[in-house]
Amino acid sequence: MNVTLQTNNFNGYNRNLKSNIRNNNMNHTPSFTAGIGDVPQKSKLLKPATNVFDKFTTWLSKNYTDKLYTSWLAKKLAGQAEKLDSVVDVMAILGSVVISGMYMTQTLRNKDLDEDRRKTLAINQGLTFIMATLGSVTIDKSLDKWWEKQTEKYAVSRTGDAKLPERIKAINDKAIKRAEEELGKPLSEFTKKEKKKHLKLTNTLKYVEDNLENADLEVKLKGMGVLKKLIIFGTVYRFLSPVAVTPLANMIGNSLVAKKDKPEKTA
Amino acid sequence: MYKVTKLTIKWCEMYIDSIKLYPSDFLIKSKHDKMHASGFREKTAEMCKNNANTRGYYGGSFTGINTNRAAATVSEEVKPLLKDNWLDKINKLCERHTVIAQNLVALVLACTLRPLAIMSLPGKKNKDDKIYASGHAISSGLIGFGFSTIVMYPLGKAAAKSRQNVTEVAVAPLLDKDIEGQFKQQEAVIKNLKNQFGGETYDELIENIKNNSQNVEDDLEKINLYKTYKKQLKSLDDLKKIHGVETIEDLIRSIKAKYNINELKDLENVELFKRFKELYNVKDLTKLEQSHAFKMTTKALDMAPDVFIFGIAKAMLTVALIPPILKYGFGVEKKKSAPQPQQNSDAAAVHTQTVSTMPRPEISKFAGGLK
Repeated sequence: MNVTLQTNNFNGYNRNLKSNIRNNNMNHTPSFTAGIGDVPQKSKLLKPATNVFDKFTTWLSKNYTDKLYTSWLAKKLAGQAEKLDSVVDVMAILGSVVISGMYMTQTLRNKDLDEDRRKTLAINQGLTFIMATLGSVTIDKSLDKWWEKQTEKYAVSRTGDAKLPERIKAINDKAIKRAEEELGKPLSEFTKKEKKKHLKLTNTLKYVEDNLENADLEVKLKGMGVLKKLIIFGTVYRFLSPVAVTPLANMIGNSLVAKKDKPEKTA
Repeated sequence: MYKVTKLTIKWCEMYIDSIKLYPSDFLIKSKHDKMHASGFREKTAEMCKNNANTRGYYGGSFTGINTNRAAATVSEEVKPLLKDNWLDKINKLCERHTVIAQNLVALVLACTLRPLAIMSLPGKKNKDDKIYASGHAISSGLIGFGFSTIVMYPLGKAAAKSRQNVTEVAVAPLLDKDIEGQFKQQEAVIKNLKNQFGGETYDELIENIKNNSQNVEDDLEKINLYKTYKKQLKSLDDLKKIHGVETIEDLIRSIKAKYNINELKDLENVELFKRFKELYNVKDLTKLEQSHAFKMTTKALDMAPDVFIFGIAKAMLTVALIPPILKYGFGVEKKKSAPQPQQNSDAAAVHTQTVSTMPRPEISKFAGGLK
């Protein structure tokens, strides 16, 4: 009987077969990281640059923001800012005040125009600013409820808790009931002052802050509030105001000055 | 038995595509080496029963088994990060870098809506004027966004670092104590309260306590304390990451080195925090972070440079960028004395706050007002 030694070495893979078996058998399931392990890491290539940037921002924080936050300006602001609900809209209006103010001064100083025309123009600019500001504040307020609903929907989608709006509503209903009992009259008869004093309603952000430990969602919801104001004030000041309000302001300005010879055309 | 096993493996092969990369004798060899081990046989049979498992035959590919395992390894913190959609990203940008978001909104408006509106407005103005006005709008949008991003991004980062100092000082008093142990105690207290009064959320619990508890104030204080602990525990994790340390001891060392102090309680005497305390009118430095005045003031101050200071620089850059935009965007060269249409001059008003010191004749033309 011929006995042949079975070397079984036909295939290149066999050379590593022992280790292959160890790695490929079903008992061995290496942890799978694709997708999770691929979360972008900080680039090593840019490390020197990011290090420099990091040092620069640390220097800035020490020499600029720390000082600014403790400056006389901050002291003045701190007293006022406490009363505010939101800063973004106030800053947008202030920015517009500065820009319109500078523009008006510039017009009034312009020696190329005669005095009447200068006045007309300055009034137009002022009116444009006032109308735009009033418009954006009105739009902002009127969209409050709708936006709050969108925020609620957004929070539901992020938390996966479909009962969130119900919970918020339940809290608010109780608050309204309590306020009504305190004042002894229905909600519709509340004055603005009474509402502010006695009625503290919960919105989505406050609910999340109070009840859910989700810092990430808090940031997103705060951003959602900022986004609304940015869009409204941005659209009015940068789009509606120059395109639509200006012609209107021109008409009013012209009638106010009531000049015989029309110094300007309206759009 | 052998035949059955072999058949099973063959059947399995139908589901395995990655196995093709491996030599055909791998399975046979496996059989010789492993097939008689009972554990292995059981596993094989089990795998063939389950479709998802069958695909997992070759561990290391995108397989059912492994995906499940991977899903289990994703921490709760990473999950929302992975899921962030565009709205999440925009919202975060709005909250963290408000000025950049503001200029992004302006960019979208100035580069799309405004040129469209200007070009489609009926009017007597000639086409060149409209093109110039559109060019100006696009230029102001680009400059506004570009400038704000370049200048305000580092400032935003610096502001975040300054706020981090405030977080540090808020957490510091707890570092000496056994914060995690205390937190566990607090947790037990809250659990008791929930059992006692019922309520799924804190709001419900508070409501129930208000209605039923005999020591309303004490119980409410317990909830407050718990929430504070929870927040601080979270900031503790953030601080550890920022300081690049893993243990609380290392963090304490790192904070001490940063402020050059011997004891953590000396933080109260650091000049910066003394001023913070006085300025924002807080009794306790731990309350500073949550102070409404502090939040509002710092936000206003973060936005202030862009609103008040960089406007002028932006205006100058905007005017400088108009000719190339007109040339490459619209294919026209600016005429020397292009008359400004009305919308344009007012549109310009928003961006080009003209200062008398500005040397450029184009600006005074804008400022010259409505034609």
